[in-house]
Amino acid sequence: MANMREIRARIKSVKNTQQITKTMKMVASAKLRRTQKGLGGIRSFAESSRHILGELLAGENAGYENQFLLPRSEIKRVCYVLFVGNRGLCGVYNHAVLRYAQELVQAETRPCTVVVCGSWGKDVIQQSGLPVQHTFDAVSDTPGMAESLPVADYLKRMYLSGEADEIHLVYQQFRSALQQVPGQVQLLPAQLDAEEREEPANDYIFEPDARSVLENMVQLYLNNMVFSVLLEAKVSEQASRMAAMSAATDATGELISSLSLQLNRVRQAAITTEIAEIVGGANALKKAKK
Amino acid sequence: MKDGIHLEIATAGGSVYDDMVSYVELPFSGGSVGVLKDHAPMLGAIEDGVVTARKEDGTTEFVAVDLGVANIVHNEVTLLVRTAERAENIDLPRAEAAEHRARERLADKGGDWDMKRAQIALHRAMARQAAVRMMKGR
Repeated sequence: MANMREIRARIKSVKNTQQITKTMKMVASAKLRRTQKGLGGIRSFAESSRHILGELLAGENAGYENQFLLPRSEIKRVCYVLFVGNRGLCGVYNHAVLRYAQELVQAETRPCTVVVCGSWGKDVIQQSGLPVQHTFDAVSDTPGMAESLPVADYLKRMYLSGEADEIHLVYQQFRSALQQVPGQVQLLPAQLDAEEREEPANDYIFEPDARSVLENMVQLYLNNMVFSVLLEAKVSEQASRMAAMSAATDATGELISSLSLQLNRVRQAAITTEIAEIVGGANALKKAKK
Repeated sequence: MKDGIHLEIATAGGSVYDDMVSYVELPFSGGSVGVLKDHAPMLGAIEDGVVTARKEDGTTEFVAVDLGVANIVHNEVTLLVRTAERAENIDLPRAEAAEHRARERLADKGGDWDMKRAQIALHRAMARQAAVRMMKGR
């Protein structure tokens, strides 16, 4: 049986670990709240842009050609953008989305490339055999618009230069605080999400013309999409980390109580042995006197 | 609600400006357009530049914006832009440094800089400086 000193040291170290996991859980929940607030702002922006697109694409203005909207006749290269976290300790979050991406790439018959967004597991991703072309590793845990713009610009350039004819975003979709599912959406060519409308509600003047307005609108739409996917991925990451850390805190609690039980047992056994020795010694002395 | 135009400048990161104004000047790609009350419905492409908003009480505010769209309808002016910054929040030395960098890249034709991107960066830096100058110029 282990001695008391060892068990005490063990309990102390487990308690320290528990404190760390507890703190990490709190940090994750604070970051989760902050990121979710960002998602709220995006929603009202998306609502306005849906409205304007509806006006723009309604009636006689429909059918404007835009390089980002037209599907290309031949899809030669496909690009998958993989959103992972910045670090581990968040359950299966990173591994699940990586496995999902691997399956997608393996199932893909056309040549494809991968762009990674997040600084987690460079070596793991390298070993996974994904054809990684570029990594954005300076994305913070609570990203602002300024951090998603370079990603969006990079992807647009890739599409325009013909390096990719189709771009998909692969990330952990946020269902609830307890459930996140790996999924993908198509970024380019864009499938605009506009209000369905037969006729424009207002007799608009276009400045300078409808084509430039549409061009700007599509640019905004793409930026917005990358940003919202980035935020959702981060929300999922923090939710996943919260769940993992809360499970870890519970597990350390259980470990501590079982260790304390063991410690008490050992201490009791030691006391019993000591008493038995004293009694035995006293008896022996008594016998010797007689 | 007060009489006037409701001006809102929104980016995906949140709303930057949301107030009642009596006059607003927008930097459309074809040139600046002033908007007064009861303007006809208009959809316009916004370029890097400065939005000038004059309030009822005569004070004027400036916001530097870049690429975006303006929707003017029923005295509601909604701007959806890539980025927007109020003049009082702009870091002038940083904008100047950005302009300098962009100019260097444009001058260095031999380098493998993307000329179009440098041009865009230059325009943005200049628009931000213009917003500060206009604010101080009063």
